[in-house]
Amino acid sequence: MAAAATGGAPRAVWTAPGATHLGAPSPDGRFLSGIHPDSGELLLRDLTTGIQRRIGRKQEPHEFAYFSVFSRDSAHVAYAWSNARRFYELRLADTSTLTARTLFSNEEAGFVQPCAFTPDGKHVLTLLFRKDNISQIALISTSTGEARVLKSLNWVYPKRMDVSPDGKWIVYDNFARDGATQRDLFLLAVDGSREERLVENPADDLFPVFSRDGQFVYFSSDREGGTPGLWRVAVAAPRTAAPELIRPGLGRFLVQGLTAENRLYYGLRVGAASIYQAGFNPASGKLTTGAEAVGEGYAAAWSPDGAQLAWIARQSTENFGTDARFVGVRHVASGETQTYAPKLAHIESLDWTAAAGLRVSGSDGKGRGGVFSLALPGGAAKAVTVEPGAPHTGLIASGSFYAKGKELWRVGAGNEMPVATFPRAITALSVVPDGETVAVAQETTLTIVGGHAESRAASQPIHAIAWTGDGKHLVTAQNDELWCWPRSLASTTRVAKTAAPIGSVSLHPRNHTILFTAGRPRSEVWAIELP
Amino acid sequence: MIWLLAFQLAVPPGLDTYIPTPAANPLTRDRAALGKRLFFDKRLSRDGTVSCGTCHDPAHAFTDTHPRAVGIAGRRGERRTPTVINRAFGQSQFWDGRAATLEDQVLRPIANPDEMDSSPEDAARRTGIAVPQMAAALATYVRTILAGGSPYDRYLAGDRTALDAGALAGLKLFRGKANCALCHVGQNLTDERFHVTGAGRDPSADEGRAAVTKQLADRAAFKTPTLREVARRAPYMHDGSLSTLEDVIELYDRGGPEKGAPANLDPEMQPLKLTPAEKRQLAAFLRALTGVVKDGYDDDSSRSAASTAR
Repeated sequence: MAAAATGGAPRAVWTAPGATHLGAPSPDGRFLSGIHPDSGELLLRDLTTGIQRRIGRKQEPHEFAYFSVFSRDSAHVAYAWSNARRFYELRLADTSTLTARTLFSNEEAGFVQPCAFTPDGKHVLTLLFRKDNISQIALISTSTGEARVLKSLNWVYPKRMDVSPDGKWIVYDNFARDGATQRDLFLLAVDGSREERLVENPADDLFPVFSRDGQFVYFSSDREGGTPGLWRVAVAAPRTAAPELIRPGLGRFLVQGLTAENRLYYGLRVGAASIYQAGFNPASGKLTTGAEAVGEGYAAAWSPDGAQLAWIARQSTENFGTDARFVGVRHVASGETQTYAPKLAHIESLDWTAAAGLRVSGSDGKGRGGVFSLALPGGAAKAVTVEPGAPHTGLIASGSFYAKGKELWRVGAGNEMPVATFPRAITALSVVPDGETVAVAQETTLTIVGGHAESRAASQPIHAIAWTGDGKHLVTAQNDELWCWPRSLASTTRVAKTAAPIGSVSLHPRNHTILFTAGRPRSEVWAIELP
Repeated sequence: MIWLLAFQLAVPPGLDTYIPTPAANPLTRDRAALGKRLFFDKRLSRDGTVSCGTCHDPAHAFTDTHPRAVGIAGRRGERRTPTVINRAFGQSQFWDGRAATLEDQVLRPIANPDEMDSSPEDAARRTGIAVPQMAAALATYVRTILAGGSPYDRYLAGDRTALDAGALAGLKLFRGKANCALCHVGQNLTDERFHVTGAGRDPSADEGRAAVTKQLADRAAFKTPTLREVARRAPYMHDGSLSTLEDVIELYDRGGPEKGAPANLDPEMQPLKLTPAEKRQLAAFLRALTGVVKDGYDDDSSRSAASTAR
């Protein structure tokens, strides 16, 4: 084990509900940027007073801010803004007047991540994620908004980039080589003249940031195994210095930035959704036992024979990336649990089918979103229905159907037309075990499709639906409550109220044991004094 | 056009401004100029009849019109002449990727009996340029052969009028139903990887990438070519067996060859079920990949290799 260099002890900066880890500290140490938990607008949190100020009033309800970064003089903040047309643009705001303007907007570069200002403030180093599944390291002019692309990367993207204090180098992380899963650190000349590998190691080295004097690059690494720690490497040529450990075991942290006082801010995601199990009588609509926590995760679901249960769990602060989420499967009889990490860039939801086994919806490494089957054991993912160029579809799958926006489609049928189109976006979906009857929710409207169609209004938006094994009843998750309905939807009974929002619900095919997930992880911001 | 102050090299729109270059062979104007002279110098071949530019003809986007390469004395190679546009961004060279660098690649045709049938040493003697300098200069010049600035590039940059309705529909197919973007991705519209598409007169005849890796799985696998300037580069595929873009679209629409598909055919090769209208739209998009091809340090296209007398 390498000896740790001297660094301060980590201290919590912002752990209250609503804290976000997608912002950055201002170099003068006065502000921390973030996202307003209710409005989604960019906020500047005064680190001394705790007062929060909003930037950039939105015009449409679905607009929101995302990544942000301050200029070196702390006078400006550049941030990603999901606009009224539902793609991300780059905005630039004045931190004193709180006024903002659009700097760069191109639907083809549908996601932007500002990473650093150049020292002269004339450019924002920005990652552009294009619709054709490439990412681009670009410098965007703060005066004209013109983008100069230095380097393009197919299907992959750096998790963080920074500009050296002298403005000559960009440091970024990327896969060590084509097909690798671990990242190394690279230096790219701002003038485009050359590129060098700064750190080469079998470990996962990522989230690089320059020290204020430019002599070091700090980064996250798991090179000693276990929980990633904070490391640094000297930048000076010939770049042969060995990295040194600054602080072990910080967790899967996401570097936010440095202040002029050499204080590193980083984000953590803590807590998780819990999986609960309880006896349930559909005839009465009541629980027969108390809810018992059986693990952590979300999207928990019984297998069609009830012998296994599966769930999705998070192992990273980030939402996306092949290392961000995994699938857990537990054999009920033996209690044996296996975890699988399919090579998918994102896993959104999980479902079992009687014929095809375990399926997940998400996106693969080439940006195709859709439904993938997971081979057990092993966990290898195989595309069942994918849509090239649609990496984040927000797609919901159940049985042989999936929902995309307002449309209901049949999985893997090569069909040209949706099975049905609804007036509003589908928010939950469940297929009865007979395989043909589908319960569809559009916010508060619950509809049965197939056989005798019925539609009823629920009291609250429906996030999840589960059928009983005999198809006679269904249970819906509505915020922090579970409700039971007969197939006719003629009545409804409140099953339970929980302490946290419910994410998923599943019913055992024979004994109706109810499985639901509740709660969600939250973000924290921490800081550490660098040596 | 974006100018890199460090090199004064014009990079067409749509391409990265960072051009990967070995530290031992940095881009310089003089070296590129020497490389350009050598590229069109027929003394590189044994009988003085063939230059690099004979097959890599600027008038045809730096390839030729023959299904298979034609060397000295009319000798036929086994494969189609690949274009050298944007090879600066390549991760390996030749259809089978047998050369890791351009410095390695540029000398091999000189020694190939079906191409120049000489040796780098003999070529060096005839030209008066030592072999290492010859390799460095030719590689540098090839790095300056850049294609971009197409309607597609303008569309990506935000000009929503750059593609007409047909080409725009074709782009949607390219990224979606036709699945082209699975391999033809990025600034140079290639993943630089090797795939078994079942193309060719005899789809299993050429061992392809397996000649390099000695892996059975790589048999008949070939590197994904760039699609830039593709409309100017018929015939197509590694053996020039398909005459038109429409022929290529038919191959992929079928999900591979009608008969003789290799056992290791890429699983992504599946019938696409494109309609006749969709095929026309896809072809329209491919034609929208025609833009400007620059070579050397000249910024004036009238002085580019496209009009260089040979």
